[in-house]
Amino acid sequence: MSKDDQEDRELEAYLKGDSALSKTYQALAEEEPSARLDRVIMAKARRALPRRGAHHPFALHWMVPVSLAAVLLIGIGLVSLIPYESDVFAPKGLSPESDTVSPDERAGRSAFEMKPSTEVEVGSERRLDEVHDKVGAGKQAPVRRAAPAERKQETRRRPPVEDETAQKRRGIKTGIMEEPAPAAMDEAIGNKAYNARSLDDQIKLVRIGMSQAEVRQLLGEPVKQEKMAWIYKDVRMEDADAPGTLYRIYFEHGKVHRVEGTPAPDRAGPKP
Amino acid sequence: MDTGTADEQLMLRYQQGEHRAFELLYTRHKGALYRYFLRHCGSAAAAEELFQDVWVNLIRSRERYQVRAKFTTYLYRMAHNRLVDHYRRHSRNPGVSFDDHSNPTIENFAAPDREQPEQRLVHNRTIDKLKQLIAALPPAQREAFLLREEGGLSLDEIAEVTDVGREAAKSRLRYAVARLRKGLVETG
Repeated sequence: MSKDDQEDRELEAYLKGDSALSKTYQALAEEEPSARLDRVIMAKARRALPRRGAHHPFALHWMVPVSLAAVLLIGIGLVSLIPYESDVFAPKGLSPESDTVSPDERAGRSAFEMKPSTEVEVGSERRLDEVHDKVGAGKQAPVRRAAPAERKQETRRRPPVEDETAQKRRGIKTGIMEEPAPAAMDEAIGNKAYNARSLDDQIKLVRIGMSQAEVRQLLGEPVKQEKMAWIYKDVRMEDADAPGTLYRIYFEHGKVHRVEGTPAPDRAGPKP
Repeated sequence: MDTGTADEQLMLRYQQGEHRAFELLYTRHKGALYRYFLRHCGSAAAAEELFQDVWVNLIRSRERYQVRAKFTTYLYRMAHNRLVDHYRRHSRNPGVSFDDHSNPTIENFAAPDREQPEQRLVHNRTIDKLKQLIAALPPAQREAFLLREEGGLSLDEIAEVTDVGREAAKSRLRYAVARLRKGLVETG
């Protein structure tokens, strides 16, 4: 038997597992890694696993994009709400809290323009001073509107327009107004009312929703007060015989509801 | 958990997050793998370092694990690669290679340190001699023997782990067994 044959047989016996060599080796095979090393490796294996309750990798992957999208949506929502919660961006003359505001009012048209009366002509130049003539020279009108000269002096006596506006804004405290006038009203009253040359011009400044105090501020005292309407009379300075125009301002709940104009009876103005 | 669960199933369970599966897997193979390195390096410190590296690599490669072969083959393939890397880094002779043509000496690949306390506790003379004989084997033959004894690998698996042909693996193992037997006989 050759040496190679003998080694082959030894190998076959060894591979079967019952050789003396294997038994001898297994007898010495008793070394083990240290307990410290066991703990280290176990800890590393545990840390490599996802923690209990930790987010799934899918959730971790989408957490940031979803958060950004949510923030973006909330931001857009808040920005879109701003015009409806603040009158800063509202058109002048609109009362944002009013649910009864019509599209015409939103367009800022005057109450008179909303109800164009077929009975009157509105475009002619008329002087408020003629009201006296129409009502009667010797009679005391319910409220006499000042002549131009007097009105000029009266204007001098008035406090600055800004003070009146500020006063109106304080109206809630002082009781002069039921609620603050919109900015457009302030502007109309403050800048235009006393510069208007006739009732025709002034009547155009009346807006739906004006309070009685604001109408009085704008037009002065009416020549007559009815239950639901105030009556103002306009006459032509140039032609005292002209019939003039009667303006009737209707109120609902203390606010201007509509305005109508009709030709006044000849030389027979409404009695106070 | 069933202690008879195949290693591959345990590895898959650990892959899915079951730490207990890893514990069982580690307990099954830690001793053999440690001794595989200890017999090669002769130093407990070096053996522990390599041993830990292999397990850490296994933990890191957990998500990429696929059952393509026996788990033991997979594990000792990693151990073999780590050992080759260790030899390349620590060999005092740069020309030494992990192949059949190398002629390493005991000095090149140090025998187990006889000054280690655990070595002094070895009371069986035959066992002590066998350790010396194993340490004196050429690395390739020593590895073939240890893969067989510690890993329980077949010739085909030894060939796969060491990346050689079956006949080369058989030849290495045959020479290793013959040398060890001859050495024990001479001692006995």
